[in-house]
Amino acid sequence: MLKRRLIPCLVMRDGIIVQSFNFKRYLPIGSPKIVIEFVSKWDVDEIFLIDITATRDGRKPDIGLITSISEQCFLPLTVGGGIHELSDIRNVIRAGADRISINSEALANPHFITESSRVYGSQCVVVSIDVKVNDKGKHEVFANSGKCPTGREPSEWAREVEHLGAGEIFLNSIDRDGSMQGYDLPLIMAVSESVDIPVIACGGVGKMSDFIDCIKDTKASAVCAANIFHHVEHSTIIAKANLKKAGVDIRLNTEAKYINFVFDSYGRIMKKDDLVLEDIWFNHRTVEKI
Amino acid sequence: MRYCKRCLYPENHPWYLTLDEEGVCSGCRVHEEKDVLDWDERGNKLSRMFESYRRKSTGGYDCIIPVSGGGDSYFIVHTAKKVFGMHPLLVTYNHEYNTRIGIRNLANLLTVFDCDHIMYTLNPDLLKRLVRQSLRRCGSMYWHVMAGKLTFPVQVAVKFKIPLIVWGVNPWCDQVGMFSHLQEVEMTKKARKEHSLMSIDAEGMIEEGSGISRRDIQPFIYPFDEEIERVGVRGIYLGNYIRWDSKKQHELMISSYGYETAPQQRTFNTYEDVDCFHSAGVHDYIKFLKYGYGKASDHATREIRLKRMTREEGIEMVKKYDRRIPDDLKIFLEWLKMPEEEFNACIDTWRDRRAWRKDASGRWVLADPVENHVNDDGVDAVRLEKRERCDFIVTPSKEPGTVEDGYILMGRGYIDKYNYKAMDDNQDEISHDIDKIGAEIENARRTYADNYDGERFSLGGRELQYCKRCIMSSLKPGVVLDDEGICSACRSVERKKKIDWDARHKDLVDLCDTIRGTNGNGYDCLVPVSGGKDSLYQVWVMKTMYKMNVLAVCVVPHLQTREGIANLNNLVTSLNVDLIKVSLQPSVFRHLRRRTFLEMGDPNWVDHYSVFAGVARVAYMYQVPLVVWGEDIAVEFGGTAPNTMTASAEDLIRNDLIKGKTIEMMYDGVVSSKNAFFYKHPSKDELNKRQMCSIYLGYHHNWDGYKHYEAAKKLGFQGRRRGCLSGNLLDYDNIDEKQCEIHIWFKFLKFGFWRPTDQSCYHIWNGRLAREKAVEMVREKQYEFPKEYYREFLEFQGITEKEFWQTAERYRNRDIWHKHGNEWRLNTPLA
Repeated sequence: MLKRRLIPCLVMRDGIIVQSFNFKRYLPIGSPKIVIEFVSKWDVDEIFLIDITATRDGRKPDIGLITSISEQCFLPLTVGGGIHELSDIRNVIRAGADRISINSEALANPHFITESSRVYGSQCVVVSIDVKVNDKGKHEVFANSGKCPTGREPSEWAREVEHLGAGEIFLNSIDRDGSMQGYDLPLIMAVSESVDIPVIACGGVGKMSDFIDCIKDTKASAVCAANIFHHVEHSTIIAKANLKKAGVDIRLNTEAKYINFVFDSYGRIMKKDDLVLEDIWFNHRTVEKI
Repeated sequence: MRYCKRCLYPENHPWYLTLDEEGVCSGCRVHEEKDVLDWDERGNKLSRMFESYRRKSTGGYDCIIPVSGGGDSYFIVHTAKKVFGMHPLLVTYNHEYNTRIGIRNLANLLTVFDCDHIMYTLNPDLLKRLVRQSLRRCGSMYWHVMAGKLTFPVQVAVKFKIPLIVWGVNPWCDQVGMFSHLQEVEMTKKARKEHSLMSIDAEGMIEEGSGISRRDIQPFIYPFDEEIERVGVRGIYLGNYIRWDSKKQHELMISSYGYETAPQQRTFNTYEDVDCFHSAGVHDYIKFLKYGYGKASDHATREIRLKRMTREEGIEMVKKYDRRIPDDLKIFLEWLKMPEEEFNACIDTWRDRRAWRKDASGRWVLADPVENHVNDDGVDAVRLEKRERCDFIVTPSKEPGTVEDGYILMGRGYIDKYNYKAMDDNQDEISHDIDKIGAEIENARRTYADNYDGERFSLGGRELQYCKRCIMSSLKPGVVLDDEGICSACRSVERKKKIDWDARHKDLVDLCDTIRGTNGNGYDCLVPVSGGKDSLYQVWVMKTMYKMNVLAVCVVPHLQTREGIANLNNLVTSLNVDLIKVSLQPSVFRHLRRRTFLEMGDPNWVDHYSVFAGVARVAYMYQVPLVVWGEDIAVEFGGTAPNTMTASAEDLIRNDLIKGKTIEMMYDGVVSSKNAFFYKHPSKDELNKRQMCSIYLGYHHNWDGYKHYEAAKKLGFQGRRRGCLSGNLLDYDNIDEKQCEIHIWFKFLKFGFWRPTDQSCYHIWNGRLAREKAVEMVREKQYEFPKEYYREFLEFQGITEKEFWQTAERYRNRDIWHKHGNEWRLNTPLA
């Protein structure tokens, strides 16, 4: 079986990375370039960059930005937001992205999924699905950044996009977004059971053990989160260290591995033993000039 | 320009803002949490966190607290130490734009909170180069201040293996609402780089032609990821656990601890920014020129959110302060040696065109200032109700009449009722009243000493004799008079003349060649300094003659003299060396001094011990391969082992000044492994394992204190302004602090000699003084009492005059003294 993947989702609004809460409230984080500079050093398996205001504002993807990001980031990069035509995909891929994610256009024009996977291959096409629990207490797919109900049932829509040629599904929960209450596991379970293509789970991570629950309880092939990765130093490494400690097979190749740590209930590191601290001695690391 | 409809922030805030559908900014929204969160529960969370970081088995520090002396640092230390009982190590990156009031506030902080403290002062020449570079690269004069403030504590955390750093409020959370309090965000290198360092990390400052090299920026390099990980360093923000109200907190610090405040140039807030010449001056003016708003907006925004100011009142404040041109620009440009035109041209390139435009005549004008937005639609809908007044206290100055006319590199680090000024001490008043003080002391002596009938010190009946060549007392520990009546120190002088100094110099050249560069870009060698003549010489030699990258370390005395402060500052500026200043928890130090004074008649034991151990401890933590001490006192002044002159100083902690005692022997109810970190000398084993060595420069160079004095004078060293102290023949000997004189005077009681003998012998040995002349001078001087620092001695140790004089009499050697009328006299007069 393939190793599970950990993916940070970078939510971009009006050109800056933000924290998102229920697709409604946003807190500013900073420039996408700097976030990616750090996250890409922290051993993630892929980066998701979603421009949530491009479609609203009728903008095309920011090709200049994607170019400069892909120049400094050697990880798989998936770009979403403002992709409505094949030429958008071409420009984004040419700028250095590895895959694209489509949401509104997929709902408005399902044929676009087929067309894009025919041209660029299904491995390149991720369909993003935003789900909310509706008035009847049922999961429902929403469009336009969670504003418009579509009447679609998530698993059905997932099967449909798979059938239409999507290579992967990015599944996000609007209710859980920014809530820190953990993933919507029943949703993820249902959707990942109903398709054969990989599902990336997102929305609601508040502690590192939420990743573990999702990996152990569902068939999601990748766990994704946004806000939590902005909160502590080496956040993605610590997330992976938590996963490793729980026995999850995941890649971790950084120098700092946080292997011998005890984690608190949030999955944050706890203090090392006094005697262990006393014993630390650093060997000088010379900085090599390239 | 869009402005928040509740506060005064514009949408071009450099940390970014989001405005919601009501036009309210993210900062205001996150601030609303302050009124709804359960702060008791959050306080409990903090308590549990602190509990888990408390050291249990091995002692040492529980956490690091970065302090500037500003009010927030008072509150952080107050919270961690007084409320939660943590044992912190305080650390300061010296931004060098210090004001007198800032120095006093920091000194007061170290005194009232009673903690160990280390301060990192970089050579000012480097800072000037960095400021020029950062003005060019990011239009900032504050880059090094932020970089130092946010890097040094993390470096210390890694080097000293202290995994918790406690910060105050998260500035990004507080101003623009970058994070919810619930997210308990911690310190990250990323936020530091982007939002404090304007996206340019230390490495980004290196540039050909800028005069900034990789070695230069070492103090600003964030520890490697794996270093952070190995120690498990975390930086937490108290603002996530305590309902942050800077104004109220400052007021508590004013009333509880005597925090000083002062009016500021560019804001109504008199509490913050007082430690820095430019924080509410040029630095803020630059921010205004860049973004179109300044500190007054920040401070008014905060007060609006805390319901102490209306938006309209805030805008009035902005109108009053924002356009004010600060008068500290002159001081800054003189320091930097930059013409004003160059400065202006540089800043103009950084103007944010969203905030500024040029008018028809080519002058810069604000495009759309906040005063145009008083009556914006929707302001009333999101208005907070004003609940309190907003008055800021200005405290009376503790040093009235002084003018803030230039930076103070370093100043006092401890205060008492005699020593409370930033730089100056009380010696002018003391000199003026010296006769009166002398009479009072004599009075006290008669009252308490004359009726002493307890045990007296004795060396088993040995009588006092004097060396026939110099005038050294035969009772000095380690000194032996030989058959010819010549002392061992004089014999040592003879031997010194036969030494092949060239060969020994060569040895040191070889040693330095093998060590230089082995510490990566770190320091090659560490030189312990006091600011005195010898330390100036040592640093100069190691830097210029042996081309070593020197770190100077000063375990700083609590009662520094004004000359001591000035000379230490001069050492850093004239030799352009980086300095780590360690100041020790006053209560522990005081207790040890008091104990050794009363129990051993040796008040300075801990001074010696803490310098030897503290310097070695810093070298060990910093992994500096070589420590260069000055002279071996046993060799230079005659001691217990004058025949074994060695290069190695590893036995320093066992020399005559230490008397075979160790800190562990002194553990009692007050001193313990927990608070004795800097007193614990690394073991020989530890030093060997790390291949660290320490040497005496006096082994390799023909030591001559007087020549060092002559050389030091040329480098700006100053002697005692008021001339020689009582009993002294020289005005430059041990003048950096005030506690030593009485310690030395006790030698007179015990061994029949003190300062005048030491000082004249030194000149005799080096062929500068005839014995007859020395006899005459010493006879005239030696019965003087060190009056100048007597009161401070009592005050610091917390002893009464009675205790002092009874102790003095106890250590008066019964075999060498007799009473002649009212006066004590030596049985054997010097001849």
